[in-house]
Amino acid sequence: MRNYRPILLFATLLLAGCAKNELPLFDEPFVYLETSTGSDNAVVGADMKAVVTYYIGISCAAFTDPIDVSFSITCGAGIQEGVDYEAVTNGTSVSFLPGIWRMPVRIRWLDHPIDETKDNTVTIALTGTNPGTFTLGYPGPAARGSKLVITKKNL
Amino acid sequence: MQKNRLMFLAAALAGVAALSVSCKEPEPEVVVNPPSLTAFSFKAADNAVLSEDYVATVNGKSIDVALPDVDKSALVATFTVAEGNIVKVNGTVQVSGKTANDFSSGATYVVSDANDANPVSYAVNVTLAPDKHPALLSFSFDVDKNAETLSKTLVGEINGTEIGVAVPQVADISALVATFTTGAGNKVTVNGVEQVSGVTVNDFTNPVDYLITNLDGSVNAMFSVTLNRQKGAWTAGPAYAAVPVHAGARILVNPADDVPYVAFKRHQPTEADARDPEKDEKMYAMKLVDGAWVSLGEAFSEKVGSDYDFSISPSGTPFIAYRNSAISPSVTTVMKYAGGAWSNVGDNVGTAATTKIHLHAIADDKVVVCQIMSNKTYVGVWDGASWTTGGIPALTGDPRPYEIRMAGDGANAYMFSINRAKALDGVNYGHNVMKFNGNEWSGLRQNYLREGATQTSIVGYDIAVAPDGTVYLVTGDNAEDNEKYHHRVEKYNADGTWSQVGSTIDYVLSSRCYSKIAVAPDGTPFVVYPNEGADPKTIEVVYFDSDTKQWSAPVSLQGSGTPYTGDPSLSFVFDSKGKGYVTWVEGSALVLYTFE
Repeated sequence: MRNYRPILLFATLLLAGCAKNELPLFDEPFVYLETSTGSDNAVVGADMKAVVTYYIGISCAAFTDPIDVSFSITCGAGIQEGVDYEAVTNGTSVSFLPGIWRMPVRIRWLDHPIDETKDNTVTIALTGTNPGTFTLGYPGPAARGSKLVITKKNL
Repeated sequence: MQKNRLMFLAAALAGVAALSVSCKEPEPEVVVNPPSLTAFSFKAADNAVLSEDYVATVNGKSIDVALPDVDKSALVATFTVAEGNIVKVNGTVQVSGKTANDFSSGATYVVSDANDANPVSYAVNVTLAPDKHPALLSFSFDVDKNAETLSKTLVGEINGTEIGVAVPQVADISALVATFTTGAGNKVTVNGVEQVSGVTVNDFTNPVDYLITNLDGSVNAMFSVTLNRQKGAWTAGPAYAAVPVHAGARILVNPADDVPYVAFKRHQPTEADARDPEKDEKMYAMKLVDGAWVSLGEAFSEKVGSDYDFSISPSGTPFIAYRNSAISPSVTTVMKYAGGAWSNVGDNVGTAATTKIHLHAIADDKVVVCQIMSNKTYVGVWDGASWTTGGIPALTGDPRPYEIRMAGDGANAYMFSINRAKALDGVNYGHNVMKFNGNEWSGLRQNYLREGATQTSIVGYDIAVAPDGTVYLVTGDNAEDNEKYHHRVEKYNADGTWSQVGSTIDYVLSSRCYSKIAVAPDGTPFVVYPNEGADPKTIEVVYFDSDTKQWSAPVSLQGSGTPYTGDPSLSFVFDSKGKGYVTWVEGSALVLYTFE
């Protein structure tokens, strides 16, 4: 029952390019996007007709005031909102109340064939936080998780 | 004279008495502390219902403590009073950290001095503490609250903060009343609207997020409720534990009678006195008739080595193949069940020790055995009279195999194999799908590695053939997620191409992920896998929803409370009417779940 998020998530990921075999500690607050299995990218079938949940997560010390995270949903030239997908989550921000470490962002995928030669991606990107003390994506130059790229394919 | 003597004696006695008195210790002054209670708490060590200590605030004659929503009828308090004070509750003397009292409606502690006088009453006021871990504790759609929509109560399966509810394919889910429970004092809202269990209506077409806020708003939790359309339901079938079952038991449906058959190796117990040297590690077979397992033979083989497999021909003849550890080298022995008895099928298959032994029986009781021998793929084909053995000429490069699986239908046998790391052309664990049409082999896919993947996963693969003859493959790769491996299902099309079935399955492979794929008579592919990442571990099943073109949410076969700890080598099959059977071995017992 308990929220699986620790009060402070010290993620210990071995960064690519790290010269030493040391596990860096992420002790700065950050916010990230991921799929339900923790990936920052995904593929969906062009004929899918379903709602898929993606997640915005935060990593920081325990807090008492809500933390707002804003995001955008954009698509490539081969994709049209309303034709290929619809945003189910209303608005472009989510509010984290004390005790909540992950919030859903949902997209309904619509059955519509795509032109494989075009950019058929839908990108959910983090655009800011309030308070603004959060890093967008995992700390590090790659900023992994600052955006989530979903590619629609004719499977 | 006499009088003087008496006076002298009296004076002497008085002097002695006075001297005696002057030599005694002075009597200590008895200090009687006034009644005073200065500290009060409930310690977890003294109260099983508490998970942590709760310290009260003592303010004058008022003792205030906030406790969670637990049974307060027999709580033990720890208190501090002035030395010598006597503490009573309802006339019973209290011992700190020992005496239990009913605090359901508070209590009054009467503290008196050492003489049991000057009593002072302290009122213990118990209030509700904010829930530190607010949660939805149960969730359902009760039939009596949704009589116009549902024919039975649907109970949600809570997994972390995700709640999945299996709903019939045709149910209207746009206006359902949920019945739920949460901790005392918590408030439940959906999009800002306070929810009343059994009353509030919501549209569950999309997942619905329930916000649980504790009493003082200091902690919240969000539970997402997703309704999953289900074609049917899984239920536990009759388990089998008459003899210990070894890993790798396989269930098949006999096309002749549409009844499930199981072949397995008898497990040799660890305890020496529980062993049966005449029967341990030998093959057994049985079938499920009217809910009961009926034997088709016990210990009918030689000692079975590490590998065995089971197949039933289109005409209904069961066959087994196993590594015969009673002989050296341990080659493959094939047996068939006919006339109520098991007998060998020709000579043994192989000239050196064999492993990864699989077989498939096709029309005319022709049997195809695929295995690894001397680091090569080695095949035997039984034509009813003799074995034809050797490699597969159509298998380009004859790469060193890592693992083999087989499937097929009445006309064709298919071999799926994974090559060893960089066994051919530098491809890392490329995989092959080879077809045997009764006469010759051809390749449907060879030394294949999905673009972007590091390797084909060496766990989590299987092959199945649908009733219409379509070949389905489940494999794992990390092509789309560099750090994690996911299941991908593909099918082989009539035009000679492969196409992917939906997105990858929303599940991360683990090291014991021995998944299986089966295809229902309507063409729906199902995948079963052990979810080692779940807590507790479970066996989960997903199917491809032809309406949404998406893999369904997983269904835990054991429900949310029963951990899976056993043999990961699952087996999965459908009968002709669409009833599904999944087996695995748990504690040397064969576990069966059925779907219909």
